Amino acid sequence: MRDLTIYLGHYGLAFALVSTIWATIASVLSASTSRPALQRSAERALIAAASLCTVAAFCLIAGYLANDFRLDVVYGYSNTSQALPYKIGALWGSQAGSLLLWVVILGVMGWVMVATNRHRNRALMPWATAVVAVIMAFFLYLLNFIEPPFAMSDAFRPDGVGLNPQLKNYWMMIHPPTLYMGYVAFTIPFAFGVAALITRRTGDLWFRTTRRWTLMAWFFLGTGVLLGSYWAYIELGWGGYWAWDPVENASLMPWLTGTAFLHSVMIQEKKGMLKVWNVLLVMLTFCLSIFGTFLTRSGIISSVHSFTTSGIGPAFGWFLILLFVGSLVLLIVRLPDLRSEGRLESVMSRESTFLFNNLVLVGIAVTVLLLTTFPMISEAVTGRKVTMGPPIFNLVNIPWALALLTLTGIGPLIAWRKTSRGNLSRNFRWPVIIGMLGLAFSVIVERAAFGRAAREIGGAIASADVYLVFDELKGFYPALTYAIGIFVVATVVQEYLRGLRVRRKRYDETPWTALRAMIMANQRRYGGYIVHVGMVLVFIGIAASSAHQQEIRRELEIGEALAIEDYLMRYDSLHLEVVDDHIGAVAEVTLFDRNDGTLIGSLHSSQRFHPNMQIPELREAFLTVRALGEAGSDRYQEGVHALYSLIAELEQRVRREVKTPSTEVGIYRTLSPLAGTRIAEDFYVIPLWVDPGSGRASFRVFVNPLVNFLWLGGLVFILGAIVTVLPDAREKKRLEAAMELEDRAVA
Amino acid sequence: MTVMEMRKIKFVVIGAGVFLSLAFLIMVGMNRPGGMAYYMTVTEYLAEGATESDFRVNGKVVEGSIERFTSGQDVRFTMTDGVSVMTVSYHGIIPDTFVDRADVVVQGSMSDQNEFDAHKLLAKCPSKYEVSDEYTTPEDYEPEVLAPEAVDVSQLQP
Repeated sequence: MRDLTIYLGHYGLAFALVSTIWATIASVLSASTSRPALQRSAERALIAAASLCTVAAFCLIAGYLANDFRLDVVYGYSNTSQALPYKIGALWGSQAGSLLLWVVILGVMGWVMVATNRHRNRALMPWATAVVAVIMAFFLYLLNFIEPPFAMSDAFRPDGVGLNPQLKNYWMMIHPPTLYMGYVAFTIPFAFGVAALITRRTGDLWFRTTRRWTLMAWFFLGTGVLLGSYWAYIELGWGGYWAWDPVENASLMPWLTGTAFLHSVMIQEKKGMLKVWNVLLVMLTFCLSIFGTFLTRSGIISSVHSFTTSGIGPAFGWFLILLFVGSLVLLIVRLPDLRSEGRLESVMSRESTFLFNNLVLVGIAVTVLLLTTFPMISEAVTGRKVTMGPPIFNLVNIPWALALLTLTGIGPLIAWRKTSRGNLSRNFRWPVIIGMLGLAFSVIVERAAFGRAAREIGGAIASADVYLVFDELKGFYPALTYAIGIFVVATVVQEYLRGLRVRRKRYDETPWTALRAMIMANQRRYGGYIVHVGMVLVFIGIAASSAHQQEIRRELEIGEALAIEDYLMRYDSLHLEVVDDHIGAVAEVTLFDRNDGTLIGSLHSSQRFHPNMQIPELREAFLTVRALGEAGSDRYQEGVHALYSLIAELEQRVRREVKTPSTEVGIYRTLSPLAGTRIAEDFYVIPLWVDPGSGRASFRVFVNPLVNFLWLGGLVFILGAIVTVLPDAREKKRLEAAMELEDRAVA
Repeated sequence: MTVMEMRKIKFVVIGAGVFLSLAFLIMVGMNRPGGMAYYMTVTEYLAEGATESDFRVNGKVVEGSIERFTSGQDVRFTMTDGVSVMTVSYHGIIPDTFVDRADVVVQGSMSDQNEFDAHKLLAKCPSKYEVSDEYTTPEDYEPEVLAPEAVDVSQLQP
């Protein structure tokens, strides 16, 4: 039975590859010979490939569930004591498994694409099918020839190695699939973009018909980025959430260009302009998505040399080059078909602000790309390893991010084409007044940092020391961020109120019905505004928590306390446990208000050792003690201590570490709006080391002010994005109109 | 000059401004402390023979060489670039990712005892999402040739 699933999966992937190759050939033939039957066959082949890939993924999951350690990926990323969700999650822990997940998601999306376009877009579909099939074929080539997920070994394997402890986290279960959904979904708009260029149907149709695909991709990618930073925050234990790590940057770049695309298509819809730019953006976004997968999976980050030996690295590199160059050549060949129908009339127009927003978004994406790839280029060309620290990313990106936030407020208030003076003063009066009041308030809140920067920036400029100037500028950023944020929120509130007033004049509705009806009548606009508010909250959370984070390290005996900011933390107890797949030392602490001594709450954090289950002696001892614990035996604690001694003794004997340490962060969140200055603040504890014998422990403690604005902003972003992606009657009508126009033009 | 041309120029100037300022910021950032930094390999560092200043050295932890002290914040280990080895002692926060064969970057200087005295220790897996293949692929599991007893550390140091 076990062998059956392995063979099914293994040969399923081989047949899937054949199917995608046929889908490519048949759809291209159908386009060039206009034989619809061939296209139907191609679509069926695509569906067959998708089904086969899905079956293969389930077969691999079955291997994980059955602890079939003959399979290399099961042996490498799972073991018998791994909890069930992590056995399934181990699927995307391995290289082969994550490539399989990629192709399954693409296959299912291809299936949906075929199903929803059965009776429409018949001219674009052959080429769109071909593009999806080629990309699937590439991933299936990797899975069949370079990184086979069903590779087996006859070696004696009593237990598996297990998943990296840092990945055993609830958020890690949903973060990679979410991110992959985002990466993969950009394939469909890209496929239609390419199809539009090849067939020279370069009107609105290709992006209107993939509008929801684009929004969905952008939504999943954005959510994936947020989940990734949330995971880093609660798991990695360095008190922050974003380190400009290449893997993080890889997911941010396509999101930035995708955001630019969402805005710039509106100009093409309204004015028939920026056609080249839009096609270029969708190509860039898709290539960055593939590049993101390439960065995370090819091993190029650790070293250019490990990349060339990794097998999938060079193949991926060539595929990426082929995609990018191929897209560019196609775009250049079709330039005459992409002539603009309008022109920019004024710098003070909606289209201009969108254009600037595009420039800044793409500029930031290109900067991040340059800084992320520079170490790789340096190593390849000069053989020297370099690092790009977070300071350089912050220095470059913060000023531009603030400019972008300002444009978020300005854009919606400026009219299309050209804005008159009267229009300007009418639209901007209240938001600017509120923004100025916000600035005054922010400067008062941030008076210490702002005042110092204001006093010293003059001297820094006079000394002509550029670094000093940028160091001083940092003092202004938090207050500026809050003020611009308040301005943006004011613009959104004004837009909502105006819309409501217009509606309520026309219809007799309760405010609530009016609000709902207004949003549903123009989801993209009002959902987009919600996203803007979400981004404001994200910006405020980032600005405050990075400017005012406090940190302390202390060694404490049980019963001792430390003080930081307004908190007093008492170390109450340490208890040892053996659960799941680790030995844990859990430290309990209680928080008090330092000023009046009132109790705030209690939290725990722990230091874990994951023993190496490959060593039979250790494995047996571990399982015995765990069983003692489950049975409630009074010799349990004694057993845990013995296990600690065994590890120490074993390490002496085998002369290597027999455990993988991991740290569980303890976080106390203040979410009540009545918490005064502690509002939205996190108290964040990590034990650096513990002595299981005496209970003495060393703690690293952070206080992160307003950091929960970041996560709250993330939730608001998700809400707004969902509003924009819901079925939209108005957009449907527009799409139908565009299709009719297209058909007439062709006829 | 027509109005249209004037407008065009305005847009070009603004667009060029965006990209030039980004380029300027990158230039400033690259030369700034904490921005771009070079790593040396162990061999390069030992060849340099530098003792006084602060260097960043990149290498891998030799398997079995980690000696953790009871303070929990002190550790001594041997690192290698595959050619040379050197002993490193470090005091401070030891990251979870610091394990046998991890990729590490140490920052510090050579002490009188011919030990690298590190005040900074970075350890990382090639990706946050995956343990280095070297720990997990079965073929690689057995210890490598670079066991500490196989290399005479004292002879390799300057």
